[in-house]
Amino acid sequence: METLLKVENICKEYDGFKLDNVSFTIPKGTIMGLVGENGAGKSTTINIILDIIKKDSGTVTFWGKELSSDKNIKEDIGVVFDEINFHETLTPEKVGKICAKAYKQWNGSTYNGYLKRFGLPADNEIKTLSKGMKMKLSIAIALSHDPKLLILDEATSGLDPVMRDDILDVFLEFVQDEEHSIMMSSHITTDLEKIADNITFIHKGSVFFSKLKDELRYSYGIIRCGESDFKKIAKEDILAYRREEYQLSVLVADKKAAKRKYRNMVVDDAAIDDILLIYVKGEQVR
Amino acid sequence: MKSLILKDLYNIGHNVRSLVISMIFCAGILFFTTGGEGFVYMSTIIFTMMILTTFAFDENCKWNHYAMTMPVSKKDIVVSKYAVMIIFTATGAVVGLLVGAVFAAASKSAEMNTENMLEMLTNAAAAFLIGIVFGSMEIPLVFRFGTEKSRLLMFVSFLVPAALFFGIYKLLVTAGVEFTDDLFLRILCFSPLFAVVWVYVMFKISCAVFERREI
Repeated sequence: METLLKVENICKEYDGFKLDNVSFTIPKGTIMGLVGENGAGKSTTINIILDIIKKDSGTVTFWGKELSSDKNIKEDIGVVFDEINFHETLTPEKVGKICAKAYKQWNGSTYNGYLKRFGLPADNEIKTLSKGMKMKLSIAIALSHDPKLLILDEATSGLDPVMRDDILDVFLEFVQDEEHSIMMSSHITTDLEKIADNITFIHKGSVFFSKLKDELRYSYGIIRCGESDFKKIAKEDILAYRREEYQLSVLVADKKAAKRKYRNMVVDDAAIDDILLIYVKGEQVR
Repeated sequence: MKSLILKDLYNIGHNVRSLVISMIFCAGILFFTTGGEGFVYMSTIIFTMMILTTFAFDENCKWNHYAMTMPVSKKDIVVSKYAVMIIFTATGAVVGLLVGAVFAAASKSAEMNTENMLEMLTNAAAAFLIGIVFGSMEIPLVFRFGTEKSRLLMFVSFLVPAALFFGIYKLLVTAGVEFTDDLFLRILCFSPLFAVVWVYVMFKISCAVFERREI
């Protein structure tokens, strides 16, 4: 599958934080979810990818080219941050005119189509719009210059479930033709469970894993057990575990094998949130 | 880059009403004190200072962070700020000139003759040059320190060029140069060149400052 974005060994060091050799790829036609706790390095990674902040080392290539070598690559990248970045007294109509001057590929009728579809009044000032409407406006802007890749940094945070569902539908439509891709960082892992193909987990500045979502969903499992049962689980079967008040949650890579091997124990499906919590708040074994 | 200029013009367009009110207020005071001449300078400086307001708007909505995802470079952002500052300053000078002309026409003490008109035009041109010298110094300060600190440092943009020119003047006087009317006229003729060089140097400093800054 053709690679659209390739991130190789990017490093960035600040006082008290280090982004350490972050690598992953986004193939054409896929949605990649970027997860991790606050301060894990998700936004830093996105800012480095977009060349907003300079990396200490490593390479980032879009369609095989570095962003700094050709600013026209940005025509093909739509970006949505967690808040709208246009001044609140502008109207969607004026925003459209500004963007039409910025992007050669700007399509006014596509933009107006999205405004209609999202129910955004073209002549109301941004400050009169709700958070959800502002986010929809950001997404309309990002989609109206015919991008091949959408980069979303916490774009669905703070939206109600109905609004989020509407927006997730738009994202699914976007990747339908197998030519477009999305990279989406989000704390709302249920959104990623709905639409992502791959999940990349960043923890304390390093990529913990970058895996197919289905592999996590169908292979990974969580054994819920007490201290005595925990001692019976072979170390080589455990990825990580978390000690809770009355039980232990033990993450295993092969759910079916665990069910066969530990018949008297409860083996649950592992949601992304559970995996994240066990790794972040628990102990990693391998 | 056109998009960046258009964005600033749209943003500031919202402030036109309050700008007109403050201009009317100042015009009223100056009409009874310095007359049209003072108004040209005041109008130009007020318009030049609006560049700070555009920076404040950008900071509030984290515009520069977003702009870097568009097909524009950091240099484009700096160029656009200088272009907008020059547009504002020119508008201020023209508004000052027009209102000043109305002052002169309305005032019984001033006659609207060619000499007066020429004097007003010279004042407008001088105000424009002072405005862009001041404004071009203000821009690297904002890129370096942000809008809030730059408001405090604003007097630096006035003092540095003024002190520099006064220092040169004093140096020349000490060296025995006599400042005759003819020499003043020549200096006046060369002042646009000084302004261009000043703006260019400040522009280069702004580019270097902004290039190094993490947004």
